[in-house]
Formats: sequence, C-alpha cells, structure tokens
Amino acid sequence: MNMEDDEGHDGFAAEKTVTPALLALHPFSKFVVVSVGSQLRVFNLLEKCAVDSEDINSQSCHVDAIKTITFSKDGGLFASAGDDKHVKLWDTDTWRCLRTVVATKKISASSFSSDGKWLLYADKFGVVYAISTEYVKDPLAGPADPGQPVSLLAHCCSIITSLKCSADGRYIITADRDFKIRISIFPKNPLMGAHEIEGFCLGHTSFVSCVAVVNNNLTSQFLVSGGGDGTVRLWEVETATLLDTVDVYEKITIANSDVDNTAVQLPAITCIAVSNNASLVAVGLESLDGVIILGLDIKSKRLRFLQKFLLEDHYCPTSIQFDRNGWLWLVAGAAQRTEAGEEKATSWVKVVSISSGDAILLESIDPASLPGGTLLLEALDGTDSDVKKALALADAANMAVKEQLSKKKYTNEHRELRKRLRNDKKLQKGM
Amino acid sequence: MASGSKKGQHPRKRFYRARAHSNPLSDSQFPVPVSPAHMDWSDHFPAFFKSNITAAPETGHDSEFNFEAKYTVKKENLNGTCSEWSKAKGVEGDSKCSSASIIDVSVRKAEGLEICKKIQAFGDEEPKVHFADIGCGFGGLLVKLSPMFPNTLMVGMELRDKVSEYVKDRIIALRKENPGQFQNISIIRTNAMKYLQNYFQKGQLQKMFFLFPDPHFKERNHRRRIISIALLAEYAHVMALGGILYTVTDVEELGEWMKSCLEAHPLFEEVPLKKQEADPVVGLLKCATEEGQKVERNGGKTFYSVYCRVLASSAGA
Repeated sequence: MNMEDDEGHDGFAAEKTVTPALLALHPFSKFVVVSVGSQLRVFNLLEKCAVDSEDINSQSCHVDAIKTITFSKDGGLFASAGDDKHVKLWDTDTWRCLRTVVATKKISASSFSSDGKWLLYADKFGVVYAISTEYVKDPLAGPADPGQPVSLLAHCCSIITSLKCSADGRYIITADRDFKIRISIFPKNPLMGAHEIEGFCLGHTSFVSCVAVVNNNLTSQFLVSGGGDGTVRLWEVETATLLDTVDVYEKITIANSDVDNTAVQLPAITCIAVSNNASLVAVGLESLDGVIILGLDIKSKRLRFLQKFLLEDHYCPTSIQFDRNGWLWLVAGAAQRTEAGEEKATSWVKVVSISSGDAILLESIDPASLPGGTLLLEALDGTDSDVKKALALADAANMAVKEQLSKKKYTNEHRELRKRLRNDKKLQKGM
Repeated sequence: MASGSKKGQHPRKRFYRARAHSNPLSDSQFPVPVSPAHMDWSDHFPAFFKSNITAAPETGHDSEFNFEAKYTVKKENLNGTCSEWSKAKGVEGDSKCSSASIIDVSVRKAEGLEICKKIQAFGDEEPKVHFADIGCGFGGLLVKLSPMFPNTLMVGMELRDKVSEYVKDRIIALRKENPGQFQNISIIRTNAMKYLQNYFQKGQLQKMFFLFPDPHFKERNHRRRIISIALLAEYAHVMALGGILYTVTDVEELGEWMKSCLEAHPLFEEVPLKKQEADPVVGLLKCATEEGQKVERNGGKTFYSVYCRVLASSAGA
C-alpha cells in the first residue's frame, strides 16, 4: 500500500501489533484449525485429539502473523499465509508442509480453486497469484516441477481483503478496501492470467471487509459481503447486481437502544459466514459481543434480519464459520507482538447450535458435548489462555483491521482550507 | 480585476500550474460515485439532458449557466467561510445571464432548436459518455474532438485538481464563446486507475485515450504506470467490443512498454496500419494536446499504438 505516502496513518502501527485469530473448518468436519498470530492449532474432530502442533509449528512454521487460512474443497489440502510473506501448502492427511512459496509482499487473502488444482493468494499490493497444487498431490506424475507463482490479476494498489472462488468454479471473487468486489472469469489456463472481468459489485460505501460464497444448486451464483459501512449485501455473481442490503447496525440500534447511535464512524462488519444449506447468514459486528443472524432466501433473492444473539460479555468474534451440521463455530482472540518480538497469543473458541424451526433458536453448546470435549478447547485456545485478555485483544484486533482499511476522511471545509492559498483560488476571491 | 479564471473567460494557464506528477496510488480525497448509476451526468452535459430544456425554449442558453451555477453551488457547499463571496458571484452570474439573453435571443433560439434535435436523436434513452480521455491534462484533445463528434459525449479525467479546474473553466469559456458548441465535453477530477468502473458501465466506452502519460522510469514505480497488463483488464471491461484504445508518448521506453502490454493482453488487438491511417483521430494524437505540441516544437519523436478491444481468443483465455 501507500505507506510511503501516508505517514500520518496510525493504523499501520496498530496492525503490526494485534492480529485477529482465524478459524477454518474442514469441509467434512474432520479438522478444525485456529490460527493465532504465527501459530496454527489443529484439532482432529474424528479422532478427537489435537494434531501434534509441535510437529506443525517446528518444521517450518510461520514467523509472523498468519492472515489467511483455508481448506481446499475436497479437504485434502490446507493453506496458510500472512505477514511473513510465506505461503504454505499442507497435506491434511499427514499435516506436513508440502511446499512453501516465498512471496514478495505480505499476504492478505487466499483460496483454492474449486477443482483444487490451484491455490490463489492475494498480496497487500492488490496482486493475485496462482500456484499449481497438482504436483504435490501426485508425486509420481513425472518430475516435480513446482512452477513459479504466476500473477493472475491485480487491483490497483488496494489491499485485497477477501479472495474466493465461486462454487461452480467459473469466477474469482476479490474484495478490496476501495469499496469494490471484482468478479473475474476463472481462466482456462491460469498461467496466462485472468484478464476478463465479468463485473464489479459496487454498492458498499466503505471498505469491503469480508465475502462469503453461497453454495447452491441453482444456475445462478450468489455471494454475501460485509463492509466497513456496517451493511451486509447480497449479490448475484454473474451480473454483479446488488440484490439486497441489510443495514445491520441500524437493525440492532432499533432492537437495542443502548447502542450509541451518535458514533461518528459506523461499526464495521468483521466476519461473515453462510450456512451450508444457504438459508442463514451469520455476521460479526465490531464491538458487538455476539453474532447477528440473517435469513437468506435465494429464491426471492432477499436477506432479512432475524436475530441478535448475545454471547458472554465482550465476546466479539474475530472469525466464524458454519459446519455441516449447521453449528456455528466462533473464535474470539488475537495475537499481540511486543516490541521485543515476543508473541502473546490468546483465543477463545465457542460453538453455537442453531435450530431453525418456527423460530430460530440459538444455543451455546456446552464444551463437554463438543467432539473431543474440553480437549478441543484446550488444544485450540492454548494452555495459558487468559479469557479476559483474549476478549480484550479480539476487539482491539478488529479495530486494528478497521483502522488499517479505513480511509482518512476530511471534511469539505478542511479540503477547501488547504486549497485557499492556491493561485487559481486567490484569483476568484479577488473578484 | 484579474481575469485568469473570471467567469466565462478563457482561463490563464499560469494560475493553474501544478506539479507534473501526482501519486495515483495514494488515497483519494475527492468524491467518487458509488456506481455508474449514481453518477449524475446532467451537470456535465446539460444540453444533452432533457430536464434542462423542458421548461421553455429559451432555457437552451441557460443550460450553460446551469452548468456554471451548479458548480458555484458546489463551491459554496465546499467553502462555508467564503459563502458571502459565492453569493456575490452568483448574483453577478445572474446579471450577466440576463444581459446575455438580451443580446443573443436569436442565437439562443437556434441553439434551443439544435438541442431539441439532439434530444430527439437520443429518444428516451439517457445519453451516455462514449469517449474518455484519461489524464486529459489541459484538455487539448477534448477541445479538438468536440467538433469532430458533436453528438458524442466525451469526458476527460484528470487527477491533478488545479489542472482539472483549468479544463472546467476552459470548457465554460468555450461554451459561452461558441453557443451550441462544446456541449459534449466535460471534465472530472478523479483517479482513473482506481475508479474507472465507478463512472462507466461494462462496455460503455468506444474510445479511450492515454496521451503522453507519466513515464515513471524507475522500476519500482512501474506499478504507477497508467498502462499495465492488470489495468488493461479494467479498461477492457468498460470498453465496448470494437472500441479503440489510443496511446502516444514521446518516451521510447514507455512506448515499447505500452505496446508490449497491449500486445500481451488477450482482449486487445492492434488496429491494422491501413485502418489507423484512415482514422482521423490518429492524426490528433500527436498534435492535439499541449504536451504533444511541446514535443513537436522540440522536434521530439512520438510513439503511438492503436488497439482494438476484441473478444478473448480461445488460446488466450
């Protein structure tokens, strides 16, 4: 980004020190992964035991904050990347690192192509790269030529906040801090780059913080996005048209008047997830200690506000995801790096069950009834986890992200004041 | 009274001098429409938009003043401290308007008819901008193109605020001097590298111009160049099939760079030389802009490329 031009931006200092925790679920619920700072914590849900994190974190661990983690669609591969500019590809059977790609810039988002043949990752300069995953899957398929990452497409120097591939594999979806979501056609040969743009989803009036793809069997593809403007929007991918908008902040201020609606800046959407049956959207909102549940109706192309579900005090999730059973997994946590380079990583994982009968009923699941029980939480939260600290840090991390992505706003008066000494302005004054 | 930017008179360049470079990567501090649908072009091309001529036949001429008045209003909004001055200016504009209307009644009527014709030509469909001059500088090309394509709306996009102010004043002066002409050109202060899709719909533009762009010699600054493989994808998106993209530069290295980017891009194909020669616009590339004239004066060489927006060949996609 434009750090050299933007010295006054205090967001960068904050960004360096606090990183939100992330959560990723295996598509068939075999594993759950939480990343906090530079650590990956993996839990095997089938065997109900932690994957030896010693092994993962010793052989070739990340040395700086992880900013993106993702499973491939078939669950065979996993990728992690972040501020240390290393993109790591993992085999989920053995949890060995198959390959480390050294990028030139910090990584902000990643996704596997829907056929799993490519890993796409976006750096902070807005460039999306692709690397082939094929050779690592099949070592017998001739000489292993890993191939260099190729640049697919680029947003003009804008941090890419979210990168997804549409479920049908036809599109690459990239969201950035310049308020837009770009829909590019997934090229037949990614080595040649992705040059064809299907459309731009324009509607957010602040940065786009998160995007989730809606899985469905219809011919049309849909996606939902959350932004720094506090809205969640539903889009049709093919035409890049805005179908519906829910102003989440407005909804909860009406539902609950104790939220300060005189805030100068609207709270940002921090994370978003769509249930596998495409009927519910869960949303995390900055400084809200809970989640907001929206109803999604693909047939009528509508989103509607259902419920605000409060969790423990100050539990502001930093990352959320639905599993196959419709449970919502949440993590609130962050890693803080001290000036000496020491990292303090804390997180708190929770699971919420959602039963959608006549009325939506949410219920926090007792740790004991989780697969693996308290073992799971021990593995994911770390042993020395201080709950209070985790929550305070999680909120701080969400704020830090927002700080980094927001643009400085100047009033018209301020802008004009700066121009007042200009020659052309002086002239008009003298008239 | 100094007359550099006096209402309706040609602006003087010396009051609008700006640095040659502006960082296209920094965060912008000007308003950008949320999407093309949010963009109100009627401010820019009042003569082409119905609402301005429905009231009375005489309003044809006034439309020019609407253009100015709207800008004045905007200025007033922008600058609270100078509102007194703005009001005074508004009054002055009004008086001028009335005096002008006494003199040019016949001209105005003719013009009104002309505009009616234009509107009839468009039918109910809202007129759309079809040409974009990216980094239009002092607007030389727009002024030359305007009479060549009188029914095509074209817009210049310039990042430097002062320079865009100059072009705005220049267009106001030209419209005033030549009633009925130069109604089809306008200027926006914006960053085309970042916000092109906020102004134009998919496939809207028939011609795009990139004349004498910043060369950005240093390798680490190449990402600031206006033509790059990545950005061409965005230009291709807003261009119609068969639309033409013109680039010209006096820097050989940049000329080669732009050509190689266009050559490598699957959505662009070079226009055959014969067709290029037949295109009257190609001749303007070298000499229409202020920058081009400077190069010509100094006997410099120019390097241009003319490419057509095509469908992706199956090999490239």
